[in-house]
Amino acid sequence: MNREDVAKQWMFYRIMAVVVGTVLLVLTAFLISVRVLENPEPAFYAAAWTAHGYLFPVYVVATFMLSTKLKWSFGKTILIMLAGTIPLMSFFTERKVAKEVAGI
Amino acid sequence: MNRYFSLRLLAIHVLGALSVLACLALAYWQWDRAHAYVPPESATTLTFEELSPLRDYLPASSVGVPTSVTGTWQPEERILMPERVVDGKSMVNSNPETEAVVSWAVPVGYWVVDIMELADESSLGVVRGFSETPEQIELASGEATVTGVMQPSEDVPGLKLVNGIEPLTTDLIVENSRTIAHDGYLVATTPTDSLTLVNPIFTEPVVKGLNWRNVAYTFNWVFFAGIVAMMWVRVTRDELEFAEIANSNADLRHDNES
Repeated sequence: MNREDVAKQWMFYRIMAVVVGTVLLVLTAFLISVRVLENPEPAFYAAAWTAHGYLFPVYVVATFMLSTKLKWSFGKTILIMLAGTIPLMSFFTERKVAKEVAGI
Repeated sequence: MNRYFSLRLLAIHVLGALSVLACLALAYWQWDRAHAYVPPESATTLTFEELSPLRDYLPASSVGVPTSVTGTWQPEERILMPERVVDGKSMVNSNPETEAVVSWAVPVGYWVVDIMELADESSLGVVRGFSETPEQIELASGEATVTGVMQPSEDVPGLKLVNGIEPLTTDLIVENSRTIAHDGYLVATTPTDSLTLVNPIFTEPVVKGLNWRNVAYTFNWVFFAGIVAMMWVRVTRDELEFAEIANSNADLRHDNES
């Protein structure tokens, strides 16, 4: 396995996991504010969700590319992709993957 | 078994194809939503048939255009829309993403909707007016000519009424019609009986371009279809590789045995 290649994919995955995780966390906070506390919608709200809709597939691609390098099973790949849809979850998976990469 | 055709591979292909198709179907759905109310070329002096084509959405360019139509009232098919006021515009929630509650200073009552059957046997929902006591309004019957303006079904994207008022939708009109119904409804502008004329929600054609959010979602789904296709290829490749290894192991075993 080419270590440099893995390192590149790992960095791509890591950036996307943190970005998607942060955006999702912030948007979830606004979602609660708008839907539960019934505050007015901020101006960027709709656009921000659309942006998230585009960031998430990039995260999926990053996960997919890393999964080919690390020879993950199909199921594991899907689970890590889905982790990106649950607030906070992508931070935990990112730490887990970090341990796995460190072990190589 | 042929290495390109195992039960597992078949399952992978079925699943892969279905997933890609599902993503593309969702993309198409968003594309369709983005376009639902783009107005066609606007024309002057239109007959009612041109203004409100059957078996199609009411063109956005037909909304609010004065017209007149002749048909026969269907007295058994009256629809009463409760909790409404005379001024349609004041019932519109200006922020459709939220719920809005309005306490009216004006009388609250019913919009009286009667169904008219036209010469081509199609049905048209006509809001004849507003009344606080609709039970006192005589059922419409016989042949009549009404003038009015066409309105879209009240479940068009972006339209939401305040106070959770039940929308007057094409579905509702279809349910209450004997024959195929026109999309949307007509708001009468000529007074009948003791009904107060209603001010329609839309007074001019709805001019709405592409809905950028739906366009964005469309490409989102196309993107996803691509990713799913990529994964499909990868899983197939892994499966073939696995089969190859298993095969060569079997060959080794066979060699050892002989």
